[in-house]
Amino acid sequence: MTDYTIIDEPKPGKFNHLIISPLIIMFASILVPLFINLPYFGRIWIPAVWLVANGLFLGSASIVKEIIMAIAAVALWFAIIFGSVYLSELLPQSINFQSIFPYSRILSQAIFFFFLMYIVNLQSTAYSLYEYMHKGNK
Amino acid sequence: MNHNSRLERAWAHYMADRTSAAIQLLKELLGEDPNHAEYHSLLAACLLQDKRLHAAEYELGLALKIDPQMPFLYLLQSNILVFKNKFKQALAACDQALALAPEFIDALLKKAEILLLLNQYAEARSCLDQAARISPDNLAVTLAYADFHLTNGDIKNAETFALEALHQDAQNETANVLMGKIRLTQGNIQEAEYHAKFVILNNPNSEQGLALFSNIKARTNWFLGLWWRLNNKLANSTQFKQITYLICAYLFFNLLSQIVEDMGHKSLSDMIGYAWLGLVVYSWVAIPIYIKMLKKELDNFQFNRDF
Repeated sequence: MTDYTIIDEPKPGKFNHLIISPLIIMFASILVPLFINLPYFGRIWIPAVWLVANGLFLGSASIVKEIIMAIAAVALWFAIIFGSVYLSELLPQSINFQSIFPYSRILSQAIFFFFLMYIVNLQSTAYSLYEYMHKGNK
Repeated sequence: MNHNSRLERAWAHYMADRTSAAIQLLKELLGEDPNHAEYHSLLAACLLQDKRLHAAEYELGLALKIDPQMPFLYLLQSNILVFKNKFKQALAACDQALALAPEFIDALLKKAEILLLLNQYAEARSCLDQAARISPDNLAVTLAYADFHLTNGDIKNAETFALEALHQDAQNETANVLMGKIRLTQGNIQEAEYHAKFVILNNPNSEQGLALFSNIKARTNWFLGLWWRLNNKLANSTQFKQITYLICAYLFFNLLSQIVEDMGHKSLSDMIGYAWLGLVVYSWVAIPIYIKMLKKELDNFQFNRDF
């Protein structure tokens, strides 16, 4: 007799050995760029891709939301950075772009981390249930 | 073990806040009979208690499809809607429960609670009177009366009902919290502290007990009280709210630091940067410090003989 499955319970697949706590991914995405310069804006898209992959391995019930949030986080970060560069070309010469850039950087970082933390928050529920079920089966 | 005794055990686990055990039993029961409305409804109640709102709503939907005539389902729906701050809809769900079972005490008390939240005191009072007529010695009704009077600022009547509730069950968490609030309003800090600590010692996760304790601390020392309140709020708020607070703090400190630097005050800007760093470090250690201080308070505490 199989147990009933509750809708928000994770359904891990064959890659369950690759599942790690989403909090570790978040801390890695904050700490690693302090020591290593990741190429091709890696500090932005690597955490997002890693979180989505972790959600897929976990069989997270909120995976669709997590993917949408990850795409939104990366897209918004690039939109703010490249948008401010584009805006600087439209601005009259009298306004110094260098003075605006630090503000757009702060804003893009805040928005990016908000989305990242939101995904971590969503995935943490599935991860804690997975951990509970995993330990319970041992 | 047959279905009924397992269901009874699941109810007992749910009533005693052991939701994990209740959920496990209900999953087994639903594995055997997935079309049982009561299993789904109790599972929804357990999930709601664990704040798994989405799953609770889904299970409630399944139960409603199987048996839409079950009054408990509408009470549960009302609880979910209150959780989502949809008070008008919650009230309609209570009315639906009462239409199916006019003497359903829990639905009457829930309705009174929602009406109180909507500041409709006369209607709330009429619901409580109706509940008292149906079940005069019910502890939940006595507690609801105490809460009603306390919210209305009628401390004397609130005290009478809270004392009556404590006579019925001296260990009851809500009765002790209410009495603690009443004593605090009366300025009797020591007795309020006894009630708060009694609740926390019995249930260290009691949100209402911890909130009362923070309020007591705030009375004795406003600065320390502010710290207790802040930590209690952070410890009890949802993760989404914690994220929002942290991001707002990040924006505030970094934008301020940048503005100050642009104004030519580099050293002040650096100081703001260090303050942000301090806040980040503190946010890591705040909750462990809070729990340690709470433990210290409780370890060194002695009730006096009169309590």
